[in-house]
Amino acid sequence: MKKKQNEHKKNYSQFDLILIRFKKNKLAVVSVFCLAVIALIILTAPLYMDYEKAIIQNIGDRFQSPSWEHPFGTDLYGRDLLARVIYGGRISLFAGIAIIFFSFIFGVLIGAISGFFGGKVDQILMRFVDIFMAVPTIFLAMAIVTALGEGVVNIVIAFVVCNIPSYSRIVRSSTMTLRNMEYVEAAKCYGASNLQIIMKHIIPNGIGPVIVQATISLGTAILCISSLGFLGLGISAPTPEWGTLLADNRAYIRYYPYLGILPGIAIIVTVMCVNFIGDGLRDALDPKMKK
Amino acid sequence: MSNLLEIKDLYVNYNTDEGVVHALNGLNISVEKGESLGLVGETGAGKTTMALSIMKLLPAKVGEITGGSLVYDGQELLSADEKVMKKIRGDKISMIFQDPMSSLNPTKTVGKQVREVLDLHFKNLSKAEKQEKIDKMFLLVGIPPERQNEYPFQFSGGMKQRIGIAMALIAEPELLIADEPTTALDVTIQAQILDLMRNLQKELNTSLIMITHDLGIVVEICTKVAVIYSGQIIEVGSVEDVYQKLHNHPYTAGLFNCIPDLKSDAKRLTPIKGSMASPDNLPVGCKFCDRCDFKTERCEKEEPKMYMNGTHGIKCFKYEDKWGE
Repeated sequence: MKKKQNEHKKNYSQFDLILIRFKKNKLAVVSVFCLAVIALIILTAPLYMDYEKAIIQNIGDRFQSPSWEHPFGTDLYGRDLLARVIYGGRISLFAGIAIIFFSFIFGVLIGAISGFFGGKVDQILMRFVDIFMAVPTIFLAMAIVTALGEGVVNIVIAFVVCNIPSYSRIVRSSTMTLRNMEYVEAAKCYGASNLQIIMKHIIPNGIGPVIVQATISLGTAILCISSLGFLGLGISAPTPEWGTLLADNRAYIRYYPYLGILPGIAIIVTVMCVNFIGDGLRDALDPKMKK
Repeated sequence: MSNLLEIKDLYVNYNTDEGVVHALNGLNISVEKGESLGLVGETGAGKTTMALSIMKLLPAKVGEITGGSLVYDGQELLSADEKVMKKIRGDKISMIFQDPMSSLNPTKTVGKQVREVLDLHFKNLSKAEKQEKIDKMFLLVGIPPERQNEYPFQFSGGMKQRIGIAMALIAEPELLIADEPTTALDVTIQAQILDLMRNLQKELNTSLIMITHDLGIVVEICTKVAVIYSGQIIEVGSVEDVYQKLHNHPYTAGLFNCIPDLKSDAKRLTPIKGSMASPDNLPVGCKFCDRCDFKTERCEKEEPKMYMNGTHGIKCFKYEDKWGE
């Protein structure tokens, strides 16, 4: 029996252990599966569906209820809603994830550095962050997009800049408590450099709360992209995009509810999947959750 | 034997908002190769400050070394820059911490944490050689090597302290500073850890500075004792010198009186009266004079020197005539 236990414990790499813990969270596993399916549908769209279908107007077919020919119905201009939702995802989902990914990385780095060093470094970095925090997100994003020009990449850059402050603030505050931990002092005693301490001790212990923050903000990111589009600075018509779909169809929801409900469901399912994955990931990364 | 570490006249101040705190006031101590020194003193006497000064890890901006010299293996550390210190830390001088619960990173397996120290100081070893070294070290401190893929929370306090010791010793330091390594452990585990440290110290011939407030621990594993009070060494000597209790500094004598004795009938222990002089407002003369039963007028005005008798030194006027300087 004892031997068996030892065998059980051996030969698991760090990654294996994280995977084992992640798998225990059924909701997270289902979410990964769902998100993968959604991503697959969106990515392979050109193989089975013409992009034309999403943008060519056909006024004769406007406001058709869901049917075999148009599973999600058609909108104000007679465009197939399913095609628009699928092609819209190409921008919303990937731009949203890109925004979160990059603002996570930069936010965590800035927060950890300013929290760890404190003093002047902290003052300089945090005052910069404060400037960005003081301006409302959408105005800041508008200013940046206006300066850089329109386009998906510039929109991503704009929202990354807007999102960095909240991430770095969270990480900074947890870093301030972590830097006084004895294992950080111990690492110094063993000759580790500041960079090594930040990378190996501060960040792994401090990112838990930010992972959750990151997954929650995916929904906000998708909606932000659309509000920029609404203001005429984002993805311009007729290019489909989830937020714009909702905004455009809002006026007709009373008579044709599917126009709002179906794109809405696409957003909700995606955001919830990412949320659950984030939850599962946080638990999996924290070794103390292992039972 | 040559001195591995020699501290002379070390002064350390903490510049706080409320004023300057004099943590070390002319501290003199030396450690020979392979020697184990027990540094005894009460809270706030400057034990940890001394340890941090040796590592040059005093809190930045607040802690300041204002004078003295700190020679390690012929090299002056006070003038050494950060690059040199990084090589010395962990490699030459290492440290065991008080609280094993918080001195290990909770998000990393213990094996990985030990390996990190190796990565820092033994860059040219191959992966397999490193692994072999780690396995050996785990065996040495009494932890099955197959448990190195587990996380700190899966170990008990005593085992965590063993891992702390493994981390401190893996790079084969010449000097090991143990800052109250058994304070957070219960008595049985304390005995085990002390045993382990004594054996390892002999086996690896490491010099040891054992910081503690427990005179019992010192006699267990040390060969030399230094009593620290208000940032000064007030008594130093071999374990025999001090523990024979023939000649002691009044403060050391007071410390001995605080230990319950099975043989005596005393109903109560006799504590040292008063409390330690505030480090931001130290007396001019002997730092202990306010609490001393043998106080004379001279004690208040003039600071006694360290009077030596062989290896035994006491910083008290009582020994001025009997012993030489």
